[in-house]
Amino acid sequence: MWSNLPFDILANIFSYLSPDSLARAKSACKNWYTCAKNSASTPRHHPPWFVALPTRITGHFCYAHNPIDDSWHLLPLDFIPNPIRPIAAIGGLILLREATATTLQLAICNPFTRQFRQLPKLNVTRTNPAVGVIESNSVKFKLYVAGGMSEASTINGGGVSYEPTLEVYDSIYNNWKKIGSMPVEFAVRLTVWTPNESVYCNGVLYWITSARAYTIMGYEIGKNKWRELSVPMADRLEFAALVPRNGKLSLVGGTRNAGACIWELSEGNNWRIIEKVPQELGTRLLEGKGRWGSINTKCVCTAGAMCLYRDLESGMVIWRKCAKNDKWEWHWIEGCGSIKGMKLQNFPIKGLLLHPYLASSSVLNQ
Amino acid sequence: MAEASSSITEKFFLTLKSSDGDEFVLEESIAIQSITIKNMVEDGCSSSVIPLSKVDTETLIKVIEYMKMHSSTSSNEEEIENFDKKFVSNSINTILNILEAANFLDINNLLELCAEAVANRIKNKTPEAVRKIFNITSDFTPEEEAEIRNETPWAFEGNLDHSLD
Repeated sequence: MWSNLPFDILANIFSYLSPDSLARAKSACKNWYTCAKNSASTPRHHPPWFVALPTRITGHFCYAHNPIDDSWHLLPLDFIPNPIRPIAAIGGLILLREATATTLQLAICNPFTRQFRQLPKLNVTRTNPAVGVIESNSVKFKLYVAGGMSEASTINGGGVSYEPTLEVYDSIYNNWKKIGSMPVEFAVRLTVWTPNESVYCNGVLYWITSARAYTIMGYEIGKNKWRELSVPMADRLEFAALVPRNGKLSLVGGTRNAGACIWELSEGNNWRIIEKVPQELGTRLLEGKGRWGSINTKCVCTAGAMCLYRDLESGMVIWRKCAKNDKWEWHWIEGCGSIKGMKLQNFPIKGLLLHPYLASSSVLNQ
Repeated sequence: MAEASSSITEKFFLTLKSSDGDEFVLEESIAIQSITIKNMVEDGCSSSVIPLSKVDTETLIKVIEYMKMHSSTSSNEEEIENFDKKFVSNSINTILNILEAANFLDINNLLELCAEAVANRIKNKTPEAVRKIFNITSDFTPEEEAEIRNETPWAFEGNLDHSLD
C-alpha cells in the first residue's frame, strides 16, 4: 500500500522530488504529509530558486522563480510582523534584519512555508556590523557578526567608536557567544563598507567591499586570524562579487570593455580567469547600456550556482552546476513582468538563491 | 595450471526461497549485490536455502533479473541503461513490491532506481492525480486539506498535470 509505505522508503522517493512537486505530494494523505514534514533526508541536487525581494518599497512580499517549470510565483510575507531587510540565504531560509531598529536584530523566515522567528539578541548591541553565514543546511548553521559601531558611542555622540569584536550564533544551541577581539582596521572596514553577503570557503569567511577599489577581507575561523586579499583589476571592475565554487573561492566581475569574467583563487593567492560570461548573455543583461555600472549589476550566489541580475523585470544570467554531469552551465531566466496575467510594476530587488525547504525546521519552531 | 584456473573460476551457488515457496539457484557473486544476503553468507548461513519470507515469487524473479543484468562482468553500460528504462516501466504496484524487496534485501542501486521512478510518476501531478495513480484515499477532512494547501499555495499555481500516465 502506497499510503503506509515505511517512512525511510517514502523519504527516499520524496528526496527525488522538486520542491513544488513535493509540496503537492504531501497533500495526498496524512502519512505522506507527516513524512514530508519530518523527513530528515536531504533532497538531492535540485537547482536553487531565485527569490526577489523589493529593496525600496517595504511591501511584505517577494517573488520566487521555479527553475523546473520556469514560472514566477508571488509569495506573500504578511506573516512577518515588522518591516525587514533581507541579508542572505541559509539553505531554504532567509536571514533578515529588522528595518526599523538601528542596532542589528536578526530574524529568519521560510518564505515557502510561511514561518518566521526572531533570533536572540546579540551580546553586544551594534549598528551595521558585517554578518557571515556558515550553512550546512536549513536546520544547522552558524552566523558570525563582526565589527559595527557600539550603541553607547552613537547615543553619546562622542566620536564614533567601532566594536572590534566578534560573536557567533549556533542554530543548535540557539545562542550567541563572544569569540573575542579583532583588529580595529578590519572592524572599521567591515562597518563602513557595508559589505555584501559573506562567502564561506575552506574554513574562511570572506567579505568583499562594496565599491572600487575592491578588496576582500577573510576571517580564518579555526585560527581566529584576519587577512586581506587583493582583487584582480580591483580599480577597474564595475561590479564584483564573491562566488563559492567547487570548494574554491571565485570572483565574478565586469569591466567596461572586457565583458565579465570569473576568476578562481589558486595557490599562492593568485587569481586566474576560469570562465567568461557568454557575450550574448552579458549583452542581453546590459540591454545596450554598455556598462555594468549603469545598470547597477548585482550578483548573488549559493553553493552550485551564481546569478547576475538588475531588477525584477529584466532577465537574469545564471551559471549553475548541472545535476546530471556536474558541469557548470549558463542559462537565461526571463524576469518577472507579470503573474497570472497581471502586469507587475518593475522595482529594484535584492535577489537570493534558495533551496526551498518544506520540512519543519527546529530553528523556526523554537 | 588447469587446476589453478578452475579454482579461480569456481562458482558458488546460493538457493533463494520466495515467500510462495519457490526456490531459485543463483551465483553467489550475483546474489551478494544484496547486502542482506552478503551478510548472511559472511555469517555462514548460506549453506542451506536462504528463505526470503518478505519477497513473493513474482517480485523475486524481477529482482534476480535486475541483479543478473547489473552483475559486473556480463553486461555493458548501454544494455544496463536500456534494461533499467524498461524495468521501471513495470506497473506501479510491481514497483511497490520491488521497492519493499530492495529495501529488505538492501540493494541500494535498485532502491534508488525505483525511488526515482516513483518520483517521476509523482512530479508535476495534482494531488488528485497522485491519489488515483497510487490508489490512495485521502484521510484529510476538507478543512484540513484546504489548510495544508494554504501552507504552500505557490505549489498549486500554473500548469499542473492531471493525467494518470
